[in-house]
Amino acid sequence: MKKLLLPAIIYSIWMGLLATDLPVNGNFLPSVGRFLSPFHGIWQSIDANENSYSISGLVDKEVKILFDERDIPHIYAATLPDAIYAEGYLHAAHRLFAMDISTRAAAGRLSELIGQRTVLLDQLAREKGFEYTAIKKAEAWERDSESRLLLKAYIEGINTYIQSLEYKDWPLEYKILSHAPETWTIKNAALAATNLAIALCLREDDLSYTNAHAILSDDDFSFLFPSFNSKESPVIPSEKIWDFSAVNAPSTTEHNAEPLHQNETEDTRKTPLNGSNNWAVSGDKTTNGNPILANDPHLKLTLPSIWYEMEINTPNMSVHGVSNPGLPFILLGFNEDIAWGSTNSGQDVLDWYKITWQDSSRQKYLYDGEYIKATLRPERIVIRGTNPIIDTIRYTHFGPVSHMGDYVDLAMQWIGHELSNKNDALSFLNINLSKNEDEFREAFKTYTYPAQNFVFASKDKNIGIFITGQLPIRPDGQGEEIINGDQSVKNWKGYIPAEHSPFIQNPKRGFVSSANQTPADTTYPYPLLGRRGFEDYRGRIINQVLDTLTSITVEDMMALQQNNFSLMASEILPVLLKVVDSTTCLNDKEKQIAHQLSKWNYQYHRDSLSPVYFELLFEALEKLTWDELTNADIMMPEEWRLIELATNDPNNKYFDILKTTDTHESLQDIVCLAFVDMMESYHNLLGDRNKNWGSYKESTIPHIARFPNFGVDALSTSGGRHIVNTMKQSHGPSWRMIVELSDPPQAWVNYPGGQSGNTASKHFKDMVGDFFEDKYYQVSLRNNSDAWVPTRQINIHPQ
Amino acid sequence: MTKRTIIVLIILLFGTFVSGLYGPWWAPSVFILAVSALLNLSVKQAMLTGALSLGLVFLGMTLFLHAGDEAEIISKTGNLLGGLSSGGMIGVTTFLGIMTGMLSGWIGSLLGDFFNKNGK
Repeated sequence: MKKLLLPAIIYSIWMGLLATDLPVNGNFLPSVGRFLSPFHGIWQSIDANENSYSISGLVDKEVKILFDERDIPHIYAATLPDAIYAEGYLHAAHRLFAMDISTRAAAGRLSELIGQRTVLLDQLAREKGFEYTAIKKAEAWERDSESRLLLKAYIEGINTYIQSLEYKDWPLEYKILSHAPETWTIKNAALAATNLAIALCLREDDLSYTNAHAILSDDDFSFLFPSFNSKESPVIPSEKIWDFSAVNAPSTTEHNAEPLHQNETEDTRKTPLNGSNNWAVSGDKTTNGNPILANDPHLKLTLPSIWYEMEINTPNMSVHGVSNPGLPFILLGFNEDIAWGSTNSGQDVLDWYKITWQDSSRQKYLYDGEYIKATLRPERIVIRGTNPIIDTIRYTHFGPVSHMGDYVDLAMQWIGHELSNKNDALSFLNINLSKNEDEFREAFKTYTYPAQNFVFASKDKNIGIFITGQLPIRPDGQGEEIINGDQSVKNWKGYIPAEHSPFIQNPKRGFVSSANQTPADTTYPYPLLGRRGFEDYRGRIINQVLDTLTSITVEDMMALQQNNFSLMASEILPVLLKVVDSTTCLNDKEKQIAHQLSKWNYQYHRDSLSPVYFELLFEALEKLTWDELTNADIMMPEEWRLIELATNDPNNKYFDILKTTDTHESLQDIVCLAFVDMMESYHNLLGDRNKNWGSYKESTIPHIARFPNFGVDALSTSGGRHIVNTMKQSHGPSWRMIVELSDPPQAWVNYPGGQSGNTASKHFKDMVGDFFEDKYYQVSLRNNSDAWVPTRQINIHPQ
Repeated sequence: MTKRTIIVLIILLFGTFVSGLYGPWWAPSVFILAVSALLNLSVKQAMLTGALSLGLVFLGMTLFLHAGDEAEIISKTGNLLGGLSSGGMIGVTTFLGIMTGMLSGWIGSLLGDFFNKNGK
């Protein structure tokens, strides 16, 4: 027995080590016994298993899923619930980990998978109440029987796939993180919807504007941050007459902004600008008389993509486009009669209220002269490898209270929280089913948020654009800066009625378009907030091109989506070059570059070096001009403001450099210095970054969990900010679609990714190369399953 | 290597492969342990055949699977988990097989010995 003891201990320790996740430098080494087992672990992830097969599922009649050469699934189902069940199954089969990680991010549950590194992100998500919102949204969805039926079918489809998985079949990411996929509920779908809302309508600059206003005089603030750019070309053209008066807009209240300088954290500054382009041209402007619609939403790019292309066919519906795994239906696409696409309206639907607590226990807050009890909601953040954090989130009349870091306690009033009790589950189903403009508009009656500019075109030759989604009505002067939350009068006063939402159908100019600019000009009866978020160069270029084009073809629309012309550069560069032309401040090398820039066609082509020089020059110009603001930690004005100033007022006080007290600089001095800075920055560029625009920008599409090497690195791409082709480093067009409303409709599509979320699949990133070579795939509805030969097939039999 | 050792090795090669294919990740270890105990292999014989069988099965499987790794999943994962190349991943996996097989054979042999003695 004694002889056995030591070997038994050694064997047990060895097997125990193989079965344990080991913490290594803040990460976790998955239990190597199963992870490295050639029969179960990572080695089994090499085969993507993309074959034909049959399963039994919770469907009434057999569902056929046929895959085409790009692995796009075409679902053929006898009933809508069966089709949606199949959609759920496909989403899980191809994007399970991406669905999981994005919903965990919204719920503040990343640390369960990752550990300490994501605790701060989870705390931020919890304190903003996203999971609570999703719970209320799921409850609202489930109250309606039709919504419940379809969502249940969708979730059952997801769970059918999850339950079929053994360890060896887990998506690779789960094996690396050593965590089993969890069963889904309708709450997960509500989290997916919330995650989309976070990406599209959480952006605001209240803190930044409050800080700027606290330091600047009213005159300086208005001068630097005007609310309207006179050159702007709004979504709804000026021909639109608003034949109604605003309702429920209260008379002016006190100006609520007060000096409240708070430290801005990375979190408050970093919310990205998720913009997009869309337009539709009427048949009068096209070669063959059919309307053409185009859409390219700009988002943070990841692998797998946020989009999953698919087609759904039932006896009542044939629709093709992109879905968002985690949510049912097609979000952007076309059917036999209509096509639609969306861009972010960019409206500010989030306000911050300063809360006055009764005492340090932070249990009661001042509201209309009384101390009201806040609702306390405990949050337990589970952290892999260590003890959980128990936190308490306080809810006020306005919403949850943020209390981290250097913040004063601020309550967050957000459209997502306010309308989480509304059932909007079937809005996209109704869009998918629409046959004409009336049905399309009717479908939006239940749509809540995020507010979008929906462009529309139909086979019966109509085009239109509709700003959909609820927009709050606030007391005057409120909404752009932090507000004192001590009075109910400061609360939102309802929403702009749907019939007053900005829209236009078949305008005289023969096209509709949007690129996140302000929805309407100042004649619109309601105040619109959020227009400062986006510059309007893309919108202006799109409108200029569409205005001048006649006999438009699909190829013209492709060219416009890929347009690399920088209107911004074309407006400022000649001004700067003219200024230095009359001086002797440039050395020979700088003169040479100035000469090169003077010959530039303002195209941000990846092989061109001029965009690199221009970007460095403009960056230097901004820093030198706005030194007063950056020294005081205030946000910089929008770029168009600097361009306007340089063009019209070269001796403005802001061109004076603070640190040179003995001299008064003008634009000319600043531009001379900017050239010096530009040269220095250029010489400091590392590696190949000084070669051309593509290598300078060095675009990447990271893996969704940021696993190094699992994404696509070092892409040389054209385009950039303020350009119709808005491809930045890893943010840009996430789906390109052009639909000609012929009979039947024809579409040309592509997205920078691939259909499969499985890194081993040949369809993981197979469309990336074609996308950045500006190629499209032609698509038409394949509503007859017998009329074509699939590359593979999944059959779902009734159980 | 004796004829008996070769026969045992063949049994273990087949058994570890099948148990790996249809059982949990620890099934090959249990199989080696059981065979070593039931056949009452000497410690040396059990450790040698255990290490060789599981090592060879793991090496063979990883080489076979790696040949189809067009997406370079293994090298990317190795890189993520500490900078291992695909060759390193094959090496580490084979090493795990050898060690697990050796320890399983060792404990199996001692268990067989223990039960034999107590049985008598």
